[in-house]
Amino acid sequence: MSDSPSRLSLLLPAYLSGTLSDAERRFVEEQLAASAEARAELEELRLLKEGLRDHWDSGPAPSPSARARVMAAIGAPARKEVKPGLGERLGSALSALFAPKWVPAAALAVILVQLGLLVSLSTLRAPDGGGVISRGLDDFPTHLVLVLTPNAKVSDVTALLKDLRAEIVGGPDADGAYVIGVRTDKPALINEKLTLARSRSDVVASIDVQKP
Amino acid sequence: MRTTEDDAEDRALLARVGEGDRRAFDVLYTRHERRVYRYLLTLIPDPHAAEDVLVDVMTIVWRDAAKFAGGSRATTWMLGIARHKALDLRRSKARTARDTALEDVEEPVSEQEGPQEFTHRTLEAAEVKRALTQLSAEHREVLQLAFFEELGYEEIASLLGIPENTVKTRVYYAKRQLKAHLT
Repeated sequence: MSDSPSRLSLLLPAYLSGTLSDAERRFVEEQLAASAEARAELEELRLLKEGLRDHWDSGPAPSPSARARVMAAIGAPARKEVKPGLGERLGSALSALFAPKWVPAAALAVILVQLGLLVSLSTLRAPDGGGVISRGLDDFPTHLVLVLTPNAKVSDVTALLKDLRAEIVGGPDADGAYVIGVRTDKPALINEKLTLARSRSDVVASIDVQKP
Repeated sequence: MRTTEDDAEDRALLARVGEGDRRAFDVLYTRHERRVYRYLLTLIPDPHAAEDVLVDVMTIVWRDAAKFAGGSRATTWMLGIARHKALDLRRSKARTARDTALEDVEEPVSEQEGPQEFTHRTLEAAEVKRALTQLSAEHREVLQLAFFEELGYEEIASLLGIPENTVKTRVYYAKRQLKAHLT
């Protein structure tokens, strides 16, 4: 066999990744349709790619200290404030109403404040302009179960949902857990969102993918 | 594959980072920390050194976000910073015969097996890892960029500073080398 790669062999990796031009893709597909050898080469490449992806997907992550070092290196300029909206005002009102001097049962206050949080958040538009949240109309491919910390502020939760590009679609249940929807089913992106949410320990008590 | 939507989000985050928005940087960091670190490990096998470079890279991303001109995907821009810093580190160390500069490597050629030998196999993680360690750094790098990051040839060429046709042949020979070490 010659050492000079064929045009097809050079293009197949990019064909698998979907990064070919239309003309190149048409060429590859014509070759695949006409040649069993070409199809076998593609299958071999697919197998190699899966093996490599598994290897790199399971690779090590940097230690948490890397993030701390970066954040220390860049200093700590003030975070931009989220402009108070209706949700903020409702949340504040509920928090004031159920201040500790009026409600000795702290757990009940948490549930009620978080219920108010849900009501207020449900009036906000989706972060990406997808419309007003509707708990009955759920087209998210992935659901996450989110438990907020007792001291979570509406503004922080709103910012978190915006950063996650997520919307509340259910909850809270008896344990105070919300179900939030995200518009991706890619494990890598979901893991990114989980990592991000877990880094907000002042807001997030726990978050995981909802089990079917 | 990172989509156009992913890149649009990255660009929006970079714009906010360029204005000094630390929360946006938190998000950007989380989205790319593992990707950049994984790429660095391909170039710098020592995980501690790779982590030190990661810190440098992300600090530069914070500092230079406003300079991002948008001529490439945000991911490619960050990987380019990572590559530059990794090469700086490599250049600063004494080179051994096996530690050849990435840009000076000849394309190795190996024996090729028939494709049918792979089609009914399942590749075990351990054997993939072992095979990858036997590749040159530039072959590991180009496989990672093409098969894992799923960058196009043009993007890889821009990132590595080599012609697009060289990227194509490098991916081809890297795949052949990998396969040779797996069979």
